[in-house]
Amino acid sequence: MSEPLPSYQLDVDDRAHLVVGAAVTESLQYVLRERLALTNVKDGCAVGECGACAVLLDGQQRLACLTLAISASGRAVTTAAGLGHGRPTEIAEALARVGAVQCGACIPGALIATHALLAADPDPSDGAIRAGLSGVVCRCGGYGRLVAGVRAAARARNGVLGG
Amino acid sequence: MPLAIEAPLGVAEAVGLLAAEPDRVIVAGGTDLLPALHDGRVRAERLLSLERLREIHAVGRTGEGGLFIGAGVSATVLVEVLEPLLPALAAAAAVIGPPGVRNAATVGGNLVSAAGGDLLVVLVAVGAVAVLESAAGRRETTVEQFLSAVDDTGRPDLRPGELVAGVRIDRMPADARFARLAVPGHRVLSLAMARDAHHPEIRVAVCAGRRVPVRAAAAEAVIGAELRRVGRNIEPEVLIAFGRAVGEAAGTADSVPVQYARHAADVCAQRLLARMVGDE
Repeated sequence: MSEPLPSYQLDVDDRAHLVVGAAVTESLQYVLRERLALTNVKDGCAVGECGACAVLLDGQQRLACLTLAISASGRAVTTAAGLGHGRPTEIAEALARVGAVQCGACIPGALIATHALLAADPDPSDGAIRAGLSGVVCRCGGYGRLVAGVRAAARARNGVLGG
Repeated sequence: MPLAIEAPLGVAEAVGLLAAEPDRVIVAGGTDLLPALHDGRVRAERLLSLERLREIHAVGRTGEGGLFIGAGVSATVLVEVLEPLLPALAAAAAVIGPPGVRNAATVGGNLVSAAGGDLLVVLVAVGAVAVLESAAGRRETTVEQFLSAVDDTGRPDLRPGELVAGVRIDRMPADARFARLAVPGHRVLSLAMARDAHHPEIRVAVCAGRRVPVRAAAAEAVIGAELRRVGRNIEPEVLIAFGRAVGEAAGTADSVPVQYARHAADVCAQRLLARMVGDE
């Protein structure tokens, strides 16, 4: 049994958390969901294949299950719930409006992926949307509505910017 | 008491730690280690993170007109930076996984895991050299040779105490192309070709039904002879023979039928070569 790490700090969604008694090999997904009770970070597959645990690390999209929790210490972690700093984002509202949210398991990962996509490409083609969300596995099969939701989110954001 | 994770700033410190504590498990982006920990394939009590190593995160030209790619460079950075320098490698990096994986996956990790042929076929086709560091100093070997050990031992030629510092391409190709074919759930084929800048030859690396890429030597001989004979106007029969030879370099290890893998390699090789010689 390995020694637990000394306590370390994780900055998640504008709050500082102290992680105590963790093992060095714990993933960021495990620490966020199980230790810090941030349950919007889903445990879909634990091996990086479903995209449900996506978060932003210093603004960059990462899979939390493929990231050592200790490596996130000293960096800014943003979960899907933190994207709007406590309020629903235009992306979340657009996905809900088009009916893309069925069981909801893929949605946090889809929100992070969409946020990252639109940050790099504010007016993506359908092909770019599909590529940007290629890591999102939706167990309800709702890909058509996910793409439609991202399209609607892009339009809503561009409208705000233009107006 | 030793720390459970060390994140040194320089290679010298890192290899010193590896020599002093050989049980430390190396971690970079985490895309290989975390699933292995989860599945129980790897047990680790102490880690050595490469995330802060200064020397391995750059892409740069060497003094002799070559290209050095640090082992810590992510697939996302490869896509962004290599488009003007080596677009075939940028194209391969763009398909190794979705954006979240590309942000974390590294060149060094791909070499050490020897899993997934997309980046590796390009590196073999362009004759890349793997640069390895240890407390004993620097060792260099071709990526092709480094990976070939997998066929014998199941693991690449990474010796105890070594870490991959990066890959170096000494002679940039005049042209390099990449193609891959995947159907849902099955990786069928990764293929790369590189035309030498000074000699009438094309190197072909194929990864189909095999864990690591191989050079399609017979196909290279066919196309080399034709290039020396006629330059760029490749005879149709030669193209067909070339494709068949690339197909025969496919193996039997994957989940797709070998006939399908061979046919896919044959057709993709012909198309890729036709594009390469036709685009000039």
